Amino acid sequence: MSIKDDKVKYVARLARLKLTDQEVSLIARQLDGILGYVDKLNERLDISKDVPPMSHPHAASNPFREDKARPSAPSEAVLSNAPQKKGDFFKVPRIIEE
Amino acid sequence: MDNLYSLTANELLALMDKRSVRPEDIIESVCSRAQSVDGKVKGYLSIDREGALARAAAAGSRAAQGKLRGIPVAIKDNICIEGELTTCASKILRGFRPPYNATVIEKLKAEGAVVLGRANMDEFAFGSSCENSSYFPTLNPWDTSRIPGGSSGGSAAVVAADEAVMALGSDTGGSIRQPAALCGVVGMKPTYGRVSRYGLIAFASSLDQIGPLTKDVRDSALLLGVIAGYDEKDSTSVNIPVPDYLSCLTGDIRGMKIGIPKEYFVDGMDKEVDAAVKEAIALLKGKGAQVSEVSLPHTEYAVAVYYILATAEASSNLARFDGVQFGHRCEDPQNILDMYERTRGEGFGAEAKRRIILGTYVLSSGYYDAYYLKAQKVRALIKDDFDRVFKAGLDCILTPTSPTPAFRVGERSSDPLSMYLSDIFTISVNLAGVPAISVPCGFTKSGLPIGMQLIGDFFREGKILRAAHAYECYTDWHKRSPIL
Repeated sequence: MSIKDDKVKYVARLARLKLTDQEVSLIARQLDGILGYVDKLNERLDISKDVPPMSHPHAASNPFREDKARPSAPSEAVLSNAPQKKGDFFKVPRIIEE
Repeated sequence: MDNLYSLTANELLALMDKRSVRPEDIIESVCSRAQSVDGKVKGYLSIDREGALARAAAAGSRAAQGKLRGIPVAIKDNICIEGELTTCASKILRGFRPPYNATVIEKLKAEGAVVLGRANMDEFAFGSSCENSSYFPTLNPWDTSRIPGGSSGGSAAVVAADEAVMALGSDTGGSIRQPAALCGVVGMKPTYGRVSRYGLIAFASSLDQIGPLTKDVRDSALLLGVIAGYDEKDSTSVNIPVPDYLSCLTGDIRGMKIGIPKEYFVDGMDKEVDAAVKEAIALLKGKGAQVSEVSLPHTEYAVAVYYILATAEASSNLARFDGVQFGHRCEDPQNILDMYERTRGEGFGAEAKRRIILGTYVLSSGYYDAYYLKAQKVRALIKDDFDRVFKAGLDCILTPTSPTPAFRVGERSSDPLSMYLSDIFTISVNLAGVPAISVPCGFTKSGLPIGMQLIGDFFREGKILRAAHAYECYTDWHKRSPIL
């Protein structure tokens, strides 16, 4: 499967990642090599349908803790790394058009 | 007496017990060593000498408390320390000071350890050479024209160069074991779930583990015992008791059943690595280990599976770096989308971008079944391979850690696939979730360290520590130090 520049641009959009044209063509070329390598899974390995996909090394179970209120981190500390803030909030460019 | 900086934690603790050494003496010795050699090695992003001295003095006055009292430890730059710069060696996290400590940092502090500095790494742990740091590459203390391995290259290099007594790293596909092998130190990836990842900045959440890099196996057992254990803040940590790992070190290998997987001795492997590992096998056999050949038939698919699953998880985990809550934000964004795209385009390095694109691609509509789902199924087969041989009664599996010794700076940086293949012997362990340790087992003629890997069954760290320690008792590779 060969990956084209416009596919990389499309995926970069999905990932919210700005790439230069140079980066796009470099990544397209490198992904061709990497996907060519990982295609060995499709070419050489026949997997019967009953192999369950593994997402995690241990049997999944949802750990619960007691449903009890406890203090969270102070908002001052949480906001201390914010690139921009206003009062107790993270400030970002306008999202809803007027 | 030897220089303090060259001693292990266990040796230093014994000296402190006899009151012949104070914690401040150790910090002074290690800091001046770092001052004289780190210009060549570049293992540290920062060293907090004054803070470390103050904390060491406090540790001393608390008398003989704590399993790691006064021991200076280097911390990989992806483990959160409250109020201290934590950047994953990435531009996108420049200036980030976490408002909390990782659980492993709390545990180190509770046992009196002294955090000495931040160890360099490949950006977000993406790499096997430490060349992907957005600051500068770390160099191999044995030959500074070569890489130290990665991604925990800084952690391995500072321990090898006696600039720290021990270090913490993280291992997603070999990031503790491969640099440990290439720098001639001991590195362990514990069982998935053995050590809390709370406060470890996530790369691939189904694979990441924090683990120790140390000068010998006894120190590895000591440090693992401190950081292991259940943590309600990490829902993937497993609630089973932590054994006394130091008591597992019997100093003898007799009766242990060791499997040698034929798939790990492949064409294209460095001849000196092959010879050193085979010599180690012969030695252990001579000392009474029961050695047999085994097969892990799905080994050849591990790298392919890994680069699908690890990049998919990374692309998702790295979505949080968007310029909203922390780190870098682009100048004058036109709108929110522009802010996300430019912030991330400016903040991430080349390898991070490549992995985000690959990971997003394999998860995207139309490719999910062919790549992601298929990889998850093959992952199950790789884990079954391990389950089968351990159920048949093996105590551990012995393999080379890396197919080659340390390569030259720049040798693989323009070819991502050749870099990915450096992890060919370490990746299956993360996919399965089992523990493994790398120990020094020789040197090339040109003086580069060679490491071998011992893999254990789930939560059987004690067994691989016992085997690794026995090997150390029969050899003295781990006692050699680079000349800097």
